[in-house]
Amino acid sequence: MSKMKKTQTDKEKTIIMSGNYAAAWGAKCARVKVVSAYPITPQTTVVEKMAEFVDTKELDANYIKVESEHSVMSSLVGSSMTGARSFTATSGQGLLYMTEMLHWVSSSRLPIVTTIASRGIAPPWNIWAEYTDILSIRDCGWIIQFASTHQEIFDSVLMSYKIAENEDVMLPYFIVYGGFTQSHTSKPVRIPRQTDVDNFLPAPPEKGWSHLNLDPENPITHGNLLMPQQEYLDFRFLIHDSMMKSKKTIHRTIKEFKKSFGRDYKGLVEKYRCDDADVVMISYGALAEQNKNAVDTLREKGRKVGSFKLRYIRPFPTEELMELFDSGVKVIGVADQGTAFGSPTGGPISTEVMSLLGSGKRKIKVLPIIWGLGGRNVTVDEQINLYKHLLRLKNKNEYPVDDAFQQGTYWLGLKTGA
Amino acid sequence: MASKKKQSDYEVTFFSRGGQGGVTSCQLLAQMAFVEGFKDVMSIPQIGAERRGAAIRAFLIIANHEIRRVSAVTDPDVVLVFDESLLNLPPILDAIPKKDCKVIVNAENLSKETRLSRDIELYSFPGTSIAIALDLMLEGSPLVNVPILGAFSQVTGLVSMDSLKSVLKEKWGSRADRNIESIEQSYKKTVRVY
Repeated sequence: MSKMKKTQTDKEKTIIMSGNYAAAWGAKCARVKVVSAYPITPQTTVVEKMAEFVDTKELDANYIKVESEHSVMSSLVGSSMTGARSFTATSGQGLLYMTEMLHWVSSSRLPIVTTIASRGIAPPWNIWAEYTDILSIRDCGWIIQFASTHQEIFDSVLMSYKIAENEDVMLPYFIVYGGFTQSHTSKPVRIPRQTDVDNFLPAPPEKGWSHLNLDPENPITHGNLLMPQQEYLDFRFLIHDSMMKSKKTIHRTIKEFKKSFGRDYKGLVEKYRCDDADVVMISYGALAEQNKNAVDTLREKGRKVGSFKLRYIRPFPTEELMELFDSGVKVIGVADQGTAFGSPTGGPISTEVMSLLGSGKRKIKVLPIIWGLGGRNVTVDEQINLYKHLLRLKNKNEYPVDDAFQQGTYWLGLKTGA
Repeated sequence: MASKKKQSDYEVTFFSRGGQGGVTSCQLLAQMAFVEGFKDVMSIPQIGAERRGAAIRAFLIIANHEIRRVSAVTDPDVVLVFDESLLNLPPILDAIPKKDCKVIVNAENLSKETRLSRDIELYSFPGTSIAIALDLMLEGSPLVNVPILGAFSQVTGLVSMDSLKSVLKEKWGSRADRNIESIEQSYKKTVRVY
């Protein structure tokens, strides 16, 4: 007889599910009240699962089918203005089509949560993991968090509403993960019992948000034209100010989550074997999680390397990065799985990380890296090789010499002359 | 299980044709391995042209540690082939390792003269006749996606028949009987070709 594992206890059940289903389960357990949906690969099974939850009455919510992603977000503006917990999911081109309304949401200070199964931007068509979709709208006033495991996708949905709906924050929230490598692969996900979720994440206030509440009994005008001397500038500052101050709420929510469910998401970043490291790679998403394997292999050989995972890019983890720069680290790599054409490095996040270096106490060498565009396979061996480039930069002050090194950035696996 | 590396995880590749249930099979085996007691599992359907009859791939990683990788499975320990005609396709032959690999093929009588390397372990089981006898049919086609798991259990010993049955019962309740019978038969009828 085998010693079979119990997949269900009084407190939780473990289900093997796709990353997309983990997002949908998160929204179900968060008891969202309104879902608006338009399908796009690789997100589609999130909103399909939500439709099933509503259809089977496992979730008491209004499900709105609309004709485009622009309308998805427009309809959620309406629902969230009534104080209803609102949810959707999208990917790639769909997110881009939604962009105008993303600003409408953040500037109305509506705590909508949207999960993104990120994919490459067309043309040519691409549906695999790459983050240029979310990175290209990173400045539209939404909190942006990467979820690098299936469990983290589910857990993040619960935490996201608690953060977004906090009176001091009141900002919309993106949870981002990779198309196919995370959205369509299946792994065990622990689903806590509903009463524990309800205790962690109570329903939003019944009378609506305190700053803005659509109520037929008390009609209001919202989003009027403001003249330049009026408070447009000042509202903009408040959005930025709340985003910066949301860090406190994020830290507190992560602590409360750990207390309720035992899983610790650390903070805005997750440091892996960075304490005494000479060389650190900064990255985000599932490839940052995989990068820990490269670190373990090199550590076994005595190399002092670490991996620094950005869980959030909005708000940007400035303090955590400054702390890293002021530690003993000598060389950093910053790997982007997305592009910012014509920016200093070609990668959006490496450019932002490097913008902080001038404020550090010490001189640190940096190798910006671009990897995994359009779902290009990135192996642990390749990640080990990148660390070898970083170690050579530290030991011999030599940058890579192969064709992948272009204009100061290392484009992993680049086929030149393509 | 014989191993080429420090074996704390196992990779399985599923080759099937659209409509044969290869992706479902991969998903089921993920659950079975998890129930068996492996710490982590990850099933990875290949996304592409999902047409009836077209060659489909799915991958599974089962591990005694947390799986952190998202890179492709390229060096499987076990390969499951739903249909021996798939062994005529060069892209599939290329994706089967040349050594240190167990290849399990659904075939009534598999010849030793395949285009596979002789440095692998080759097994076969008569999944199609088992499925027909038990009326495990979908739209006129025999379903070997459950019977193949009995062969997997016999050849690798990684997942016990108890775990297989437990997941089948959980999924299909009393309707699981024929599927359970099918894995028992395939377990018994799996033979080593070389």
